Order: sequence, then structure tokens, then C-alpha cells
Amino acid sequence: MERKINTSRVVGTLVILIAIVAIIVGCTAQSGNNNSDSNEEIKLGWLGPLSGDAAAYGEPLQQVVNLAVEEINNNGGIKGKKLKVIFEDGKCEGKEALSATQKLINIDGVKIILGGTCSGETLGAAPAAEQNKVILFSAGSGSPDITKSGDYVFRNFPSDATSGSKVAKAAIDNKHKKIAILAEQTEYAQAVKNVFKTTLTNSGGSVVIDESYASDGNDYRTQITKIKAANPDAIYVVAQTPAKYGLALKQIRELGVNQQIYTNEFAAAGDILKDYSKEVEGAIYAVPYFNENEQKSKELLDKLKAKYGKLSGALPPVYLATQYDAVYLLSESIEKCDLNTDCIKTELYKVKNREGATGTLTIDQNGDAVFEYVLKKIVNGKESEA
Amino acid sequence: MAFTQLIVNGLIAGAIYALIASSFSLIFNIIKFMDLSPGAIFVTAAFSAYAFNIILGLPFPIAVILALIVSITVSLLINKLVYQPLINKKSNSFTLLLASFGVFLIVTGFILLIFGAEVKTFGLPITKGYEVLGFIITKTQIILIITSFIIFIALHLFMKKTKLGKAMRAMSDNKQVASIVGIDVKKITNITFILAAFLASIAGILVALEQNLEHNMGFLVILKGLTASVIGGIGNVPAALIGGLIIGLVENIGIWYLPSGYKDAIAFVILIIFLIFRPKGLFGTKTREENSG
Repeated sequence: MERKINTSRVVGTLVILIAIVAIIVGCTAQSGNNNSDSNEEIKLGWLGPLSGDAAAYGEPLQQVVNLAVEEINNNGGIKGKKLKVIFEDGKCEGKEALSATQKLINIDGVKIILGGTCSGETLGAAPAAEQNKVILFSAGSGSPDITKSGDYVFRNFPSDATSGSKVAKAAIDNKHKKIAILAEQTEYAQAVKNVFKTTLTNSGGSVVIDESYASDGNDYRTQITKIKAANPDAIYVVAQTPAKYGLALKQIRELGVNQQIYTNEFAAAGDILKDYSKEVEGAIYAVPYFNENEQKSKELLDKLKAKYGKLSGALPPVYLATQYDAVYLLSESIEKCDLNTDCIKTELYKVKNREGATGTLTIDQNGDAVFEYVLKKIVNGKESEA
Repeated sequence: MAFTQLIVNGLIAGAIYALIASSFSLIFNIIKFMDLSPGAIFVTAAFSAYAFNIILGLPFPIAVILALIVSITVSLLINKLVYQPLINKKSNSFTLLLASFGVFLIVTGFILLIFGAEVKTFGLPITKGYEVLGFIITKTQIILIITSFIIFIALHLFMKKTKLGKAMRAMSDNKQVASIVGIDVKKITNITFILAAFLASIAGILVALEQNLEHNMGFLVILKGLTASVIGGIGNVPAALIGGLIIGLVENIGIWYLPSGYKDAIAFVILIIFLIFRPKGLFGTKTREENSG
């Protein structure tokens, strides 16, 4: 009996301890959004990775959202109501994203969710959003599968099917026909890889070896040993986060694999160019079209630098711009439709040639952004034309 | 050629698994529960070394010593503030296991809070490794393997030859008898936590040098370390070394033949096989029941 009481007390203590962690994490996740004490507020859900490796880009995106919301609220909010964002952690996984989405829909009662960020999150959240007629607007998911994932699912980010196919064509053009693949085991990375593989084989190339690694693993030496033994003309590397991308590059070069690298846009992430510039030199990749020097784009990047000290190195800057534009686009639709999601849906399908920090945005009949990936190459540690 | 490379890949991974497994085993030996805090200590040491060396700019050896002091202190505090009160209340080993998982989550949460989520590296130059006997190995990896083997030999000698080591083994066999014959149980428990924290810290710093630093780097290490200590024979420190090396070698050689997606699965299949056919592990002789009974 005595023992039983102690155990329950202990379990209670544990629950409190875990709650403390949850609160700490929750506070960092929600900081900067408690400035509104008005009851007259419009709630917007946000879904993205706030823990795990991908938190490296969840955090800077959160900063972008906070900046946009602050601007909107300082300019009188939406029809006098303040915009408030409820941030939820999707952990870059479908399952976690689904439960976060259910929380946002059922408990917080949001009608619009900005997210997910990782493709796995968006795909995981899409069925719940669709079922509840909640708008799910991703500003960073590239998986081609999202195109068909629902009528209420939108994005202002291009499907990265074109990333895989453009890079595959570049490899063929460069006479690199035998390709070895190293891709992370995530929805995004596998989807891009599959497009790459199909385009490559259809264009006369071949995949000599197709290797992968788990997102929580840090040691890819044996995969790379296999790649080396297959003696490819070039390697195609697709990672989900800069953390794993850097490790993969390091281990590839340490094991003396010197072939040309084809890859995804993380090659141009600031952290990679800073810590792994030598390893990533010469890499050819595709990135959504973005011109940092266009007026609105430059304005945003300058504002972020001024507010947060520096630009995040975890992502290429285009992701910051799509995130920023998404907040404005959604608040404009709320301005027109209030929280009637059918009306918002119709408005979003009508978006055409809208000027924003990303450039010009048009949304097609699938809810996808019409803008393309362009080929780039790392030359002298900087992004250059391929 | 590729085969020798696989062996080396396995040794590098195995050396880390072995260090962390022996940290688990040491604690299990003395306080008879599966303590997950070595995972927390692993992360604490890695980030402390990073903070002292890269952020504060102290020379690397000093940073390592300070990191060891920090992580050992954290380990002692965890024992004093969390485990001892629970043990005094006669909590069962499952409660303690849960508490240690809570500790792990809290420490990981604090690291995220303080250092943020972006990836950090010690920025060691990346160069192609030395090519010997058909395999390639870098300087950091050589240091990693040699350091862990030296530590293992030292630990083995400490446990076998010194008075303290003998006291630890006596306490592991039977706590009551040990305290009756005059062994200071509290002191030995603290020494165990210091040693276990030392092992986990060295593993954390080595991994930080070899790979990079992320706040959640401790999770996989817990899984693999636990697996290694079960395979070696839980509570048996030298066996943890063998367990670690087995996991490292088998998963690396295994994915040469199987798709690499099975890498973690291979480790856990071995674990399941051991749990079914040899639950005491390769070298295990005593189970918990026999010990405390």
C-alpha cells in the first residue's frame, strides 16, 4: 500500500517535470505573440518543425511570421482585429503534424493553418484540414504529392518535381550518366529523388546505386562506401535538413569520393556555405527562382537582418520570403472573406500575378504556386548561375 | 578493399556505442535500474565543450576539462535531486527509468533553449582521411578509436585492481553485505555516477568532434547504447565494449548486403534475438532478481 502511494506520487512528480519541459518548449515556440490582449483577435494556426533537426528552420520561419504579424497589427490589424498566430510543432513528421492540426482545429478552433513546413507535415495534416474545411497553406513544402492532396490545400511554394527533373537533365547534359543516390528517408527527399530517378532513366542515364539514411542517424560511411564501390560518374544527394546535409558532404569527401555532386537547394543554405564551403564547391542544384535584389525581396531581408541581427543560415532566403508572403496573402483573404473558408478558398484560387517578397505569385487550379526551380551551382563558395 | 572499410566503419560506430553502453552498465551495476541520464550527460558534455571552446574561445584541452566538470556535476545533481529521493521512497525500477527519461527530456529541452536549434560544429578542417590497407580513416576517427580503447583498458584495470573498483563490484553483488562490511555506499554510488558521466561525456565530445552538435543528438545514442549493453550482458562493463563493437560491426556490414534503410532495424533485430535466446547477454551471469534476492 505504502509503495503504491509513493509510486503514484512519483508518477505525479514526473508528469509535472514533463509539463515543465512542455511549457519551456511551448514558451519559446510562442514567444513574441503574447502582445495582444484584445478579445477581438483573429486566430491563425501555424504548423512547422520546432523540435528536432528541422527546428533549425522552424525557428527562423517563426521569426518571419512574427515580423509579418507585427507589421499587420501595427497597421490596424484585419478590419480592426488583431491577428494572432498559434504555433504548433509538427516535428517534420506526418503523424505529429496530424495531431498538432487536430489540436489547432478542435481545441483552438482555427480556420486557417499556415503550414506545414516539411512536406511530411503538410501531407499528414491535409486530410484533417480537408475534412474540416480548414485552409492549409504551406509556404515551404515541395513534395509533388501535395498537388493532389486536397481542395483546401494550397501553397505558394513550387512543387519540387521540377527540382528533381531539372537536376537530372543537368546531369545528363554534363555526360554524367551513371549516378549514385544518397537520400534522406523523409517524404520530401524520397519524392524529389524519385522524380530525379525517373527523369534520369528516361533520358538515357542510370542509377547505379540508390542509398538512403534515417533522419536520426549520423553515420553514413557504409552507404558512402557502397557508393564508392559502385564507381558512379556523379552523386545525387538529397537531405531534409542542413545538419544531415553537412554531415553527408563531410563523410563523402573524407572517404575520398570526389565525384561531381548534384543536390537540392540546401547547398545554398548559409550554414552549409559557412561550414562546408570546400565540400559543396561545384555542386549543381535547383532552387525556387528568387532574386534577392528585387525591391520587395531586399526590403524583407533587410528588415529581418535589422530585427534579428542576421539572416538564418538554415535555409536559402526564398523560404523566408514565401513565409512572409503567405501571412500577408492569408490576411488579405480574411479581409475579404472573414473566416468563411469556402470564400477564402475561392479567393486563393483567383490569385494571379500578385507581387510579393518572393516575386510574382500565381496559384493554379491545384492550389500550387506557378513558379519554377532554376539551376544553380556553387562557385567560389557562392550561389552562381549553373 | 571495401570490406576493410566496413570493419573500420563498424569500429568507429562501435567505439562510441561501447562508451555509452559502459556508462549505462556501470550505473545499472550499482543502483540496479536502467538509467537513461547518460544520454543527457552525453549532450551536456558535447555542448559544454562547444561553449567553452568555440563561444568563449578557451583552448580545447581546457574546454574539455571544464566540460567534464560541468557534465559530472550535472550527473551528481541528477542522482542527488531525482534518483536518491525516489530510491529513499523505495520506488521501483520502472519509476526510476521513467524519471531518468524525464531528466533526459528536460536536459535536451534546456540545451535547445540555450543554444537554439541550428547545427553547430567545432569547425575542424575536413580532409580526405589517411589511406591504409585499403581503407580510409581520418585523424579524428583514429583519435576516437584510440581514446575509447585506452579508456576501456583503464576502466577495466580500475574495476579489477583498485580498492574502489573492488568496492564497486562488491556493492554490485550485494549492497547490504557491502555496507555491513564497511563500504561507504553513498560514496561508491557517487563515484559510480562520476565514472559513468565521464564515459558518456567523452563519448559526447568525441561525437561532437567527429560529426556535429544537435540538441537531440542523445536519443539515438541512448537506443544504441542500451542495445549494446543488453547484448554484452547488462551490468557487465567489459562486456559493454564487446556489445558496442558487435552492434557497430553488424549494422555496418549488414547494410552492405541489405538496403541501408534497414540499418537501425539490424541493431534491434539483434537485440530481439538476444532477448529471446540469451536475455542475460553474451557475458551476463546475474539477473536483477538473482542479485537483489
